[in-house]
Amino acid sequence: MSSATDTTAAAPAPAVPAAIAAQESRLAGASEWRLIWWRFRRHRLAFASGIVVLAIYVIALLADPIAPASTEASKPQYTYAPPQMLHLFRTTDDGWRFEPHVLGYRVQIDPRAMRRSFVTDPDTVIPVGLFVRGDRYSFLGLFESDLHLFGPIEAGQPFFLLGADRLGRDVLSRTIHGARVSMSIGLVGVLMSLAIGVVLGGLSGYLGGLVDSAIQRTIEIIRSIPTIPLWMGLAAAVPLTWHPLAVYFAVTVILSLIGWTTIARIVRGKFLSLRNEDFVVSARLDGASQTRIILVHMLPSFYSYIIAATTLAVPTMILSETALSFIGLGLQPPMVSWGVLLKEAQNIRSLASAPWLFAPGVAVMIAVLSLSFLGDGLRDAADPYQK
Amino acid sequence: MFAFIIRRTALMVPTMLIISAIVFVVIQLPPGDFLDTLASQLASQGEGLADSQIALLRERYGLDQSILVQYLKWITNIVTALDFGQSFEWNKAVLDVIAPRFWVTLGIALLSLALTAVVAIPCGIYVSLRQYSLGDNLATFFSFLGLAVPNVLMTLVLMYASFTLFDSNPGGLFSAQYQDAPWSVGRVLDLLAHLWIPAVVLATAGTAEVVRVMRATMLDELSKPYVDTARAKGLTEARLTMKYPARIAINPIVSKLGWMIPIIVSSEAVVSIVADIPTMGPLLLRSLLAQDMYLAGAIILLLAFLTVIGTLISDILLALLDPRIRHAME
Amino acid sequence: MRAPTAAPLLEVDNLRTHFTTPGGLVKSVDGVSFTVGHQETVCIVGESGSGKSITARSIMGLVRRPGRVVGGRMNFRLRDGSTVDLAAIPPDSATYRAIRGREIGMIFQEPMSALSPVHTIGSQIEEGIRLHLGFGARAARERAVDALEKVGFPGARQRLNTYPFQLSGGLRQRVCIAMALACEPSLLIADEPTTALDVTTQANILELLLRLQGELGMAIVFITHDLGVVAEIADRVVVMYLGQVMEAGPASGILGHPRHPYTRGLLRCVADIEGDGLLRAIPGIVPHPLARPPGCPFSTRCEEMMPGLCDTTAPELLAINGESRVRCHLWSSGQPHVTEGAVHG
Repeated sequence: MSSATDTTAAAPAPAVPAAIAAQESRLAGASEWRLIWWRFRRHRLAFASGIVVLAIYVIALLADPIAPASTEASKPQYTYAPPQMLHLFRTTDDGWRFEPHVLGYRVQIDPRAMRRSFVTDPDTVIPVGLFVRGDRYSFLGLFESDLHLFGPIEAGQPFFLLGADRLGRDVLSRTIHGARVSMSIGLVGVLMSLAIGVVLGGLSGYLGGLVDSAIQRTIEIIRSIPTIPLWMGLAAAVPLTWHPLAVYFAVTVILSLIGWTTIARIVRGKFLSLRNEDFVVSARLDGASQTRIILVHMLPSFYSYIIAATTLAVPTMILSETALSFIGLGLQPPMVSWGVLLKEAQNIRSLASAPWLFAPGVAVMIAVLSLSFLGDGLRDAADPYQK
Repeated sequence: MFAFIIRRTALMVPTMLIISAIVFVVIQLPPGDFLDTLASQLASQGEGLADSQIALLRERYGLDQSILVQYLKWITNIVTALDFGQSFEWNKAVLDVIAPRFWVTLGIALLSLALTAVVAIPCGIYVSLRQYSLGDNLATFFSFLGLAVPNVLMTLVLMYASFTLFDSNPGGLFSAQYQDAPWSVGRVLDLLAHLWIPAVVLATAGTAEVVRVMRATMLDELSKPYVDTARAKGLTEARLTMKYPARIAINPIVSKLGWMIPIIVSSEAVVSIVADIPTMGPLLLRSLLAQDMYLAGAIILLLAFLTVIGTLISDILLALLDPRIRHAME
Repeated sequence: MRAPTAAPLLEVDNLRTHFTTPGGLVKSVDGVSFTVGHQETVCIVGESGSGKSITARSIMGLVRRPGRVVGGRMNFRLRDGSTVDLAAIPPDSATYRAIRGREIGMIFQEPMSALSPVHTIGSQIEEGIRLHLGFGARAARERAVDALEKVGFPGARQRLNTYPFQLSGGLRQRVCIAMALACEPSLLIADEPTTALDVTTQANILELLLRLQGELGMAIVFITHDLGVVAEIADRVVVMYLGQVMEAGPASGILGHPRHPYTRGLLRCVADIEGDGLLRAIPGIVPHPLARPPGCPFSTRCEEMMPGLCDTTAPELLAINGESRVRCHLWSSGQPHVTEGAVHG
């Protein structure tokens, strides 16, 4: 009788094979965060979206050096110039070699429609390079520079990868700069909603009773006022004379005035279900203070939900900012946000001749889609059993 | 049931009163009032308005009284006489300015709601029965797309498509030839040709949401034991699916539709501004910019009223559809 | 195989129902055989995960994806005297649908969730009657009242329009029974119908089932983990473990002289076999379905495990004196082994 079978006989053998047992012990030993991370990693779409979101935020932060031009650099002679194709190789008489470049424009006048139109001119080669000198900018007010990640090697040459707008400004550069306002307004607005939502939702769920009913009625009433008309009313109250930064914060506050209700509901629901959980009851019996119970015992147990709900609230904010700025009640030029930029596309005739003005709209879509997938993935990872 | 409807309707009254107070505060927020706007407009045109004249007008419109007094006056007139006050800019009773546009707003909202229900419910049932099929993945993809495309962008894209493909610029409500024509089949078709863009845009986001909810609820319901019971009776799959899980999965959709009304009404304002459809949306924008406060207030209030009525109807429908809720009421 | 004295109503032979899961193939039912005679009550007993419910669902054609009946035969004798092999017809075919609800009725464990919450009990009972018997609305209603009265549902006619949530658990289960028996099937499959009920209601429902069996002349396949219930109603018993039959035979034999260590373990959970006043649970847990032990499936928990034999070689299901069968190396020569090598508890 071998010793292996001996142990098997003496104690009931593990009902699970070694591989599964090993995995289970690994799971049992892992912290909650680690578990969430593992589950999230398996969500390939959400993971990829997370990387996209991160990339967008990096681009937004580093907009000045990344964008080839500044937002206001206009070249009126290139009004509605179409996008240029980036060529990586150049063919010359001695064969072809690596030399990234774009082609310049030639103006053609259609004699019948009396319309100017641009065609690319194969003879004008505009070399393009990395880390080139261009428009001066002040990076986040920290230092000044004129270095750009990429652009025409000779500053001042036309370089419109996504075409030009009404005033001959680079749509790509403006869209990159627009990310800064649009993406940060989503984030800042959500953080504000989060603060209000967690406090009020927490009070509502933890205290219950009269406080709970009062907060719940408030939420119901706020939710039954159509949001955009209410926002329009509030945004119209922001004086036109304010500094753009003040307008930015005012709009953010306005958006989060309504956004908090969703988060408050989630937090309240969680608090209600946690209130009678053993670990909370035992903390209470131990004589822990209410603040301590809420901060130390209850909140950490659903950080993950809050993070997921917050991620899912950012796209709503971005879409709302776009709508408000588009109709002219939110941010105003010279501030650039995706909504402000889309306003350029409002005229259907200019849109028909310059469809690349949709670019900021596509940027909104990419941002909203990747944030939604990321949020969905986080929610699934935080609570695999939730429907 | 009758008692429930009465009780539920009575509950609307305080809600609407609180909303009216919020709305009034909001329209009072901008510094200055309509008369300041008017004065500066006239001044820019080279015509001056004497301070005494302004003071006179201010007194006539009651703008010199405290906010509370103004509010009480405003709400009393609305409740007792359905008098929403005067529009400064149009120099007409607010109700007369709003009325024709109110019906367009309501029409577009109902049209898109109907479109949502007709498209989304069958889609949701289908994809739940064919989980992970091509159709399911397509529906999921379009759901996300529907949620991610900003309404303004979609309106612009549809207008762009309509302009470049059909060479038509579908702004407004009617084409020139039908503008003042009496009602006819042609006029109705012309109206629909102008309304399809807002209806499609508004229905898309809603459809995406309803398909998602319907699919999730159906998958949930399909796994319930009562489905096995129905199978054990020998019913066909089609019949038992329609009678049981689909029927039960409709309930959350009905309450969802109630919550969708504020979103539709909201988005409708923006979409109509973009597509230049004469609904309350563009009127609201204009009145806000001109500080035509009673007009703006009346519009926000009416839009909120539509929402509250919408949730009321969805609550009543839900009680009619779900005997558990109905019995909990009684 | 045991030679049936008369043609049985249902003859399950080597039934295999497998589930394709991401983790691997789960053989929930793996070669199960038993027969059900006319008007006989057969109890299938086992712990959770033994495959007893999947066996019941396989007969009814209710195995859900990713599960599928992959082999074996289930010969069922129809009302008209012909025999069909249920394993050979697709579960969603018209042939199978004509059998479900008409020839075989089924009741489930949870009477609340087994009924639709938003349809009246009348509507739910009537639809089977209209479907199988071709009755009109009025006739189906009368038949539904009949069926409810037969199961002792008080005030049946007045309460056809009530909803399941307005009824107690016992009444709901009576509605389920009325629904299953409305078309007077010759076989009733009862999947733990009393588990979710309190003890008194449990007894009433069992009594009702036995009475109806006599009145309607039907056979019952009763799935349960409760040997107390088995003792009350079973003619014959099939004991299952990890998708296989461990022991089968007449109820008196199984309960009075259990041969398989697993059956004995189950009995010790309900009866004081040793006479020391103690009830004992079977040690250990049912193995993970994807980690079936080599050899005898019960070897990991068996008190009489014979190392080198039980954990390497799977025992055959062998006939022991006529009607009884047992799958255990202790009985592999038809005689009990001398259990000298058995390990002490």
